[in-house]
Amino acid sequence: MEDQQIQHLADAIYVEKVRRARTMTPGERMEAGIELFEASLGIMRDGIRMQHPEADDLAVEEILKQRLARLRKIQEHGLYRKGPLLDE
Amino acid sequence: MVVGGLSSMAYGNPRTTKDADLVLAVDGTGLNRLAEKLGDEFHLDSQGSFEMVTGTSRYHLRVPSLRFEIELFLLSDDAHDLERFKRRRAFPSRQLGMRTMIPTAEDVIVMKLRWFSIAKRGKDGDDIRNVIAVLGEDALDWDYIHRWTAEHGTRALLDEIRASIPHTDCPPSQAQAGAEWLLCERSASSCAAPPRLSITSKACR
Repeated sequence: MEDQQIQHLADAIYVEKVRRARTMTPGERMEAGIELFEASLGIMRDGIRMQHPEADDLAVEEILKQRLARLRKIQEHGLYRKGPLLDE
Repeated sequence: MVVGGLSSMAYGNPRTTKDADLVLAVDGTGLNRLAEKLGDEFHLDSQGSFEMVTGTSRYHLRVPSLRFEIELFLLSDDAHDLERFKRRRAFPSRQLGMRTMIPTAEDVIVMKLRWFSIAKRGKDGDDIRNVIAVLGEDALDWDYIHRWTAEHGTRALLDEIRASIPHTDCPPSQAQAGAEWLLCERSASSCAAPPRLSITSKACR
């Protein structure tokens, strides 16, 4: 496929995505975002079970938690520094 | 006020997000009082962090049984942070079963541009593009956006993103067939806007 054809295809997909989003209410779009996250967690759990068939549900959750924490660290690298402690 | 990915979704496309970002006009004592009111299900981390874009303080509010996180940002004295908060609008959502506050679409774009220029996170660029595309160019107050992008040095980035948005508002009768199906007649006023895709700007000449 030539570059121009790929660009047209990408534009067509994008236009369709925008049209679909316009049919939803703002609240529906926000809720869909949270559901998408839940769905992606399900796939991450499946991936962990595949890599660690011996892990029970508790262990899978622990690995998932570690992976999310690692991802967060990478994404936030350089954007935050240690701040003040709240008074207990 | 709900900010971050969720506020972009209110104006743009749904996308996955792992947290809810909230801006609160309270101090540390107010945060502790909030955590007490929320009850045992919520856990407020006492260790805060400084966010490097606006210099605001952030704290995590967690529900241990959930992976979804809640980040609490204290309203900072950054000029745009303050104006964004002042211009916040009520967002009653039957879908979410609550009434909250969100920034205006213009402020979502201005803030996302700051993050995109500093953190280079692709999702921020996508959010800006989607908000403009879904709302449509005519729905936005460009004078306000341009004032802040000039202040933040993000105008060129904004123009680049706008130029990458395919023209989505052609009535089907105006869309041309074949490879250049995105082309459509554009009114003189819409042609005065910065060119988007080169193929659409050609239609304006």
